[in-house]
Amino acid sequence: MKSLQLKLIALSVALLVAAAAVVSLFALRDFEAGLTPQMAAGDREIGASVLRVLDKALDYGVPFAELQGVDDFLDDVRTDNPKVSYLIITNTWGQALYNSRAKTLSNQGELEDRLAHWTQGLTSEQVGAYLNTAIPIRAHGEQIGWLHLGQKADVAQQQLNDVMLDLGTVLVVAGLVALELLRLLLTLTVGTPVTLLHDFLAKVREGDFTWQLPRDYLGGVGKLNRHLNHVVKIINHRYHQLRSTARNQGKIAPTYGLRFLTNKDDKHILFVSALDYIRWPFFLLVFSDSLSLSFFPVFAGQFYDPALGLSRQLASSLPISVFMLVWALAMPWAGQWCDRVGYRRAFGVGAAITTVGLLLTAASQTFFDLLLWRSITAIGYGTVFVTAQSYIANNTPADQRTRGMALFLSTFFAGSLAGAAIGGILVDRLGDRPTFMLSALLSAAAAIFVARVIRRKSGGGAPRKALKLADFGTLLRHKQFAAITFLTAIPSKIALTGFLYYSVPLYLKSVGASQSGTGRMMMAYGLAIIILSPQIARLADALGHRRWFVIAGGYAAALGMFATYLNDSPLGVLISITCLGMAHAVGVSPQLALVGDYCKDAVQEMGQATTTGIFRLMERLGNVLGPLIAGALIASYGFKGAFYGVGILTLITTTLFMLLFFRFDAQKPGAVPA
Amino acid sequence: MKMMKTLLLATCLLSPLLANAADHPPYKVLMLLYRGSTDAERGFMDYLKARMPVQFIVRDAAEDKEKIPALIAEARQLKPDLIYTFGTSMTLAAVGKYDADPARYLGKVPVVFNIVADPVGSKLTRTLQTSSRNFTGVSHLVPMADQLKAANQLGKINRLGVVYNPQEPNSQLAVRDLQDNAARFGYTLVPVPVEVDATGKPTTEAVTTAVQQVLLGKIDTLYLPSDSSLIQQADAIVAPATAAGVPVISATEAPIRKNGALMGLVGNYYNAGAFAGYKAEQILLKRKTPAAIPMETLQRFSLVVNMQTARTLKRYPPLEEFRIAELLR
Repeated sequence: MKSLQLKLIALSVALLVAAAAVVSLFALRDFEAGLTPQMAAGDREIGASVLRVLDKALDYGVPFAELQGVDDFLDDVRTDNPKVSYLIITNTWGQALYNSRAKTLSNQGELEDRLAHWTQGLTSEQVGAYLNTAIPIRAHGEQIGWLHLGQKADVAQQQLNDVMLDLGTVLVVAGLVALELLRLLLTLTVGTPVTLLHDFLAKVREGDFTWQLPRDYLGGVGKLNRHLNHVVKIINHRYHQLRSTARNQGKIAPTYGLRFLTNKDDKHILFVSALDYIRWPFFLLVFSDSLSLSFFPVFAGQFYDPALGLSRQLASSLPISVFMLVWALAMPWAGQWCDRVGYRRAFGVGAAITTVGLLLTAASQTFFDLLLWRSITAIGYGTVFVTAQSYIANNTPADQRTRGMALFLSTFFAGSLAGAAIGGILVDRLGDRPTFMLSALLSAAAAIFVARVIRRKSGGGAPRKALKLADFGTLLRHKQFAAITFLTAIPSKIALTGFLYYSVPLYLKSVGASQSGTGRMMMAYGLAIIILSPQIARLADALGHRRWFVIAGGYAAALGMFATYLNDSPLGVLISITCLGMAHAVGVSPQLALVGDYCKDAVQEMGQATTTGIFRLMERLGNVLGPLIAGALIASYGFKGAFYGVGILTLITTTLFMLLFFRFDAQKPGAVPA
Repeated sequence: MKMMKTLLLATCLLSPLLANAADHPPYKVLMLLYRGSTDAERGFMDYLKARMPVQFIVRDAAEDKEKIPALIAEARQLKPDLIYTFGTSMTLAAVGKYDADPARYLGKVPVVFNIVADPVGSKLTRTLQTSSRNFTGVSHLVPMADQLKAANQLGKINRLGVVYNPQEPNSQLAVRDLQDNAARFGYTLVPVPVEVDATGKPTTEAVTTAVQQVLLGKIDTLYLPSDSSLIQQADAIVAPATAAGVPVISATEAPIRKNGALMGLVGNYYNAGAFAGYKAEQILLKRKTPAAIPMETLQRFSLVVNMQTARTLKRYPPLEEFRIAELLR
């Protein structure tokens, strides 16, 4: 069953990707055909403006060969139009009289040779590595020379590459979305009905005829339900007939251990809850909220008002920090609430709050209402997050708990990376406020979906304990716990929000990258996590030595930050993001396990749930600090300085962690986990 | 242009104050000219006429210094609301040098001068910020370095000749400025004074002689200063120089337009006139004292090139200037 499902998914995704690739290819061909004339038209326009001045000079009787300051003039034109690689004026027999050219003109010889024998009229065609546009120069009705303008033909290539990358991004995201959707569809039409049938028939085999299958709307395997229900209904009916006949005869019908419905109107409908039910709406909601990831700091910066008395950097980092703070604080509370009201209600209300928050964000006017609307969104998002988390935890068998959590995280990162990438493309085309509106729409869709699919009376799992302040005190005094929290967990989150969510969009904006480019680069983080995490997790479980994974992750993250410091360019940022994703794949997931390994006493005292809850809450405080720290660093030292600063911070905390754990290991050699 | 914008802005801001201007009997403005009416006067009169009722009384010395004292005497009698003076000579006659006896000059009536090359150099005032006396005004002077930079665009100057009237402050000033800039622009200055007659004016013969002499100095460019006595004789200067293949750079516009001097970076007379009109308006309508109004020069200048001469001399302006410069056919 599982392997069939996987094969089906693989086949569908492959078909989808192939179809999208073909469509993209066709679109690209048209685009390519359209781009060259567009470039040539641009060159002609520049050429025409040169000719206007040239014509004036000729008209005033300056001989063509005795024009003054032409090279300087052409240099100025080139400065104003940096795409133009050269401007060459030749006489009719191809001798270059004046020119302005880039220092690094490739195959200059070939170019000069071609221009010396130029016979065509007003044309644009590729000469060597350049798209050459030739414009005739006339004086007194007679052609006296040529103006040649050249643009690197690979400027066109560059633009094509950008579009290709956009298409590639869409393909990746479409693949991910299709995967999630297919999983859901298969679960709804095949997986769940088959499980239900299995359970149903098992009951029948045991002689229990009191259960019914749910009504099916999707037309899959569930089509059988009606017939089976009918059969069971008839059996029940016959039993009732038999019983009433027996009663009339003053006898009692024997049941032979079989169980029938005692009352005709009683209905026991079988139900299975599947992980995939929550995965899709959770994916959708994460996706919708991540749409703004690639441009949010830039958006927040628009609300900067010097009257606030804040620095510009702080003003654009504060909304992210406040969001993270409210999100972190909302979760323990929302978790308890979810336990009380059930998943369906908790998820639905959370998604509805998110929808409202996003709508209001789209309409925000001032810095303070932006903060308020983001806080509302954070409450909703936190509720959804914690609901999905406990749904998955409570619907996976205990032995598959780790796998369930990995599933939860991979859904989260898939939604997040797909959202960031698509959001970047959308904001380039729609603008920021419409993109927020779209986010709201999608999270509303998630709410509606949950309302329809998740069972009304679904429980909320075992009620959890409220986090107590005293527990915080106890745990934070626990040396190992404090070391793991403050030296690895919090710095990881600082790098995540301070670097990736806050600095990267601002930095890429400052070097003129498009929002879609920004979204695409941010995608690298999520991709690295999704691809590496399962392998690393398996490896860590197999090898043990989790602290070394955490340490390696810390150093890799620091290295990633330094990559941008050394290579101060979008490429450097991409390397940093990828490095950070890999580092976090290696170093972040073993952190919690490490708490279990080293803090057994605390876990026994307070329980796994409380320890984990406090650890997560503390860790999320790093999310709050990240943008603030990065903002302060950018304000004082610029982007490079900020990347360097975050790198140094990670380096120092990781080193301290390593030294401390050497000591812990030395003190309690027996306690060292394998 | 920036100045013009300032002017326009100032005009707009002032308009409420102009409401009572119409009720005022016409302001009497006496204009003391030296060489007839120019674009500068047109600019001045246009500016004032558009803003207030005004009556202009025009007196012209017709380039005769002898006539000036009589004009000053008449000015005393007419008791105008404001006096406009053209040029350094007329302005000096009207208000005197800063260290002269004030009794001999027009102290009571506010004076606005125009087309004075160097108010400080000609000792009208110690500083451009304030005259400390009852006058202000506008200079049309283009900084010498800017003129030379523009001239160098049409060919590097190695030996620069200048003929000058040793009796005229503007001429002396020009020679001093040219000397000061020689090292920076890398040329040798060849100055030749022109002999003047008893009236202090150079004759055509004297100018011709001086030009012959300066051309003998193997100069590659000749400079024509902003000096009315020489501008009047421009033909005698420009024609022989051009014939000898030496381009003439003019400090003023007229020799380029009328006499075929090759080029010059000049302040526009009309704009200078309007700027002087703005200062007169400050005095008449805004009731500012002239001493409170600084003396200024225009901010933007235009390169004027006589293309006919350029073709004759094969000295063409760089292509860029065909977009900007004022070119004469």
